[in-house]
Amino acid sequence: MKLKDSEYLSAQAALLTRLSDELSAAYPYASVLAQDSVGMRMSVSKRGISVSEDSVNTKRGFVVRVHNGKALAEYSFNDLNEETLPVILKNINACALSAAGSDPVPEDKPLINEYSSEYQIDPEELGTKAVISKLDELRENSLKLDERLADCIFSFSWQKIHKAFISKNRRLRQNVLWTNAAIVMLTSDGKDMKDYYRPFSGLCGAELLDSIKDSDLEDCARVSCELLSSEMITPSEYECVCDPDVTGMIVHEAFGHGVEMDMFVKDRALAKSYVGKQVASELVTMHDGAAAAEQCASYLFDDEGTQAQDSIVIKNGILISGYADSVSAARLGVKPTGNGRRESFERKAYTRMTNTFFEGGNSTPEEMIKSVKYGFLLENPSSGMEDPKNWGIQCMVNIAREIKDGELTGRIFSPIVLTGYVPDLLKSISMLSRDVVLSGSGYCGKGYKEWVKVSDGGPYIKAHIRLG
Amino acid sequence: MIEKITDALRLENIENWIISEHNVHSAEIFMIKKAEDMRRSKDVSSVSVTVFNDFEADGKKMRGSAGIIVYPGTEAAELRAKLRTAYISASYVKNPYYELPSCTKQALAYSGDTRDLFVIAEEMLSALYEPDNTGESFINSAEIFASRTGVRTLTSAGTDVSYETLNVKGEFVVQCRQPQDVETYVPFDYSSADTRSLSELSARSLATVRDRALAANAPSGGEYDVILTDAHVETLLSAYLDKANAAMVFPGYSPYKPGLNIHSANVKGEKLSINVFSREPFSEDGIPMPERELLKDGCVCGIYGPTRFCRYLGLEPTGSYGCMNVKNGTAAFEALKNRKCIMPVVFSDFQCDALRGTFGGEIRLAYCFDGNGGVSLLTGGSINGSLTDKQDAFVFSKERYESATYSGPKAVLIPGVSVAGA
Repeated sequence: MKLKDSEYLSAQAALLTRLSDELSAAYPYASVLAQDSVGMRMSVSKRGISVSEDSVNTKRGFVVRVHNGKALAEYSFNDLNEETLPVILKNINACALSAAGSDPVPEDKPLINEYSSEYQIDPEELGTKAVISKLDELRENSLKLDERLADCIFSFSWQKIHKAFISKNRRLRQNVLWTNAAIVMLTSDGKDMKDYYRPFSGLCGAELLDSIKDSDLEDCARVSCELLSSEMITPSEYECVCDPDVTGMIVHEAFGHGVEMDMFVKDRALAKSYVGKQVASELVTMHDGAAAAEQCASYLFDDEGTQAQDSIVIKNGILISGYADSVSAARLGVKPTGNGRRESFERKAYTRMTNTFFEGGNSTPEEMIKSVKYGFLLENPSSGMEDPKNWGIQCMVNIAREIKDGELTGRIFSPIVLTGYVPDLLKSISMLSRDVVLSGSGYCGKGYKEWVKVSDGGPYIKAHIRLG
Repeated sequence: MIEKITDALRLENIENWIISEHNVHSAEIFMIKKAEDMRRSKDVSSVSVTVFNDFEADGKKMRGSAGIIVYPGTEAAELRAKLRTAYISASYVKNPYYELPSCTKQALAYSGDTRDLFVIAEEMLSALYEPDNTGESFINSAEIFASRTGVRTLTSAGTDVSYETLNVKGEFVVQCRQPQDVETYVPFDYSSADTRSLSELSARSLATVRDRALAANAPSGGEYDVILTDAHVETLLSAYLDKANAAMVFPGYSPYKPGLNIHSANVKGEKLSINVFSREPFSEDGIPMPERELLKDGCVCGIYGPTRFCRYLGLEPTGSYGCMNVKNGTAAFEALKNRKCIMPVVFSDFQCDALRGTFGGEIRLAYCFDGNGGVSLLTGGSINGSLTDKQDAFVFSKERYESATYSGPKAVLIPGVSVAGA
């Protein structure tokens, strides 16, 4: 089934058109982005049961962008009706009046389109009772698996994101439903807790819950108990095999942020001077785009009304291009790529990643492990931080499994910090597995704010990485 | 909106609820170098509503809850449907019964800055750029958000509290091109137009990034005495705030309980003494939030947190605290550096995980002291350690560091930290 339009946005359509028309008559450029997002988060754990809407994602409101002939200005608001319209116009004009600069007027080529993502089970119709029963059942089954488990936390969230974009020449609508689920299992050594996390995500409905299998529960229980005997690693550079989640973190954090082209505009990205040059092993081809994959960051148009695309960022190790929001693209003289994203209508649009991943290769994970003399299999990423200016790496992973003479020894090390220089790591990639896996369970920040839904991933990769 | 919501709650026969209205106005200025990139303003309102549903399950009294958010323009029928769905959802939330906080009535008059938010943002912008005059290092880009938020919280128990806050926060990036092109990201957050603090932060950051441009070598791997400073001390110690949160204690994620001594019998450093305070005068359910003792000489004085978990633990609800006033500090900052040690001052992202009890981060700039007065600059590598293993050996500086969320020692010495280096 296709997700239906927002009734609220449909009811506001005439007023939005009037607002857009009035602004388009007064300014060289004007657009309105309308957002109506609803969703729920549910979890069961030792803490009990929690059910609530998510204050970051659940939003209803509007942002107007105008160009006053010199520069852009924006006004975000969420009380739109016949009575408030004059005040809204006054506030937009006040903000636009003081905006200074020398930006080109944004392009507004005609574009009319609409999109709705598909699902099998509407989580709203499925209801809280069914979801909580399912999560409860999974938790009860998990707790029986090992008495050392201190807790098993199961969560499920869904978000229906309805957006409309209106300018003089553009009329766009989209309705996107994504769902996330997660298993977190905790064990304790008496002093501190160890945790293991397995995410599930999709551009889909509540059918995602059916993808959680008994084997997932067994794996999570086993690994979280293994962590009780984890050791601190001896810092050094090692041959490493990264699972698709760790590959995703390297793609996203280590490299992806560095080719967000608003960073090019600010002279904050080393990648700017590497376009057309080798930045990775020739085995590596990297994509980003809301149209590059079907995952949680898929959409028809971005928050500036630019249609999504599939951008090839690295082709056979050569940096082809970054991705850009429309303002950065205009300043750089390139085409926008549909990557202008806002945390919500309340925030500014920046160049942001969407679905970001490496293409697969020709090896199997087993062959990759077999090829390691001494090193580690890295699993379960926890966080990462970008450094576009200097291409330094900081990625944290939960698990490094020791490999000796091509075999996993059973020793595990945790937690692990990956450091080093991005091109060194990417150029050292010597094997990639065939299958590509994307995970859309996470959010991406710009610095420490501006959270947007993204997915990332790729195949297993083998590379030399400094671990600490 | 509040009247509309209370009317709908009454019509839906929902007896127990908490309503919190937020009205936010902001002025935002974005800069690239010294030129304005964009300016934005915002006027938004929202009301979070938690409804409670009391029922019995397995012979026990339960109190389930569900939270929704209401925005302006929500029609009466839609509002009632949302509340009805939330109330039904709450009937499947089988949490043991607990009492909501008792009634508080207080409207705090705003006594802060009433100027136009763009005037405040522009004043802070001038303060930020004031030290940017050498050309050697400079501000690459900056974002300033000046916002005024009005909060009103009502509960079915009769609570009605309101207050208004001013917040000026943002971030800037400082850059130095010679001898190598580097940058440092600096966030800031003030509860007033604190131009002096922002200017000082800007000047310090411009100096630090010049040092980063000179740093070329990573430390050799091994164990080092490490000095953390300023915001990194706050990040390290914030784990104690999390460990003493009722939401961590109730499910057993943290072993903390009142009276517990967190140190071993063999304390070589300073025993921890930490108070907690809140930037907001009331919790999300309207409880007044005065400063409270968290740790005194290493003993847990109180477990604080959300009402439900406090009630389950048999404690008076306090709300969740987010800020610390740390009482420690016996050593002069200069004396801490008078040994062979490294002092990382810029990390890519220094983290301390309260659940795992670990801390770590990648070093972007560290000062390496040789113990004989010599200092060298380092970049690269990372530190990684266990908070629980190291907390008996912390030595804090007498000198203090202040932010909107922290008042305490400027520095902490942690002996024998694992460093991954070149």
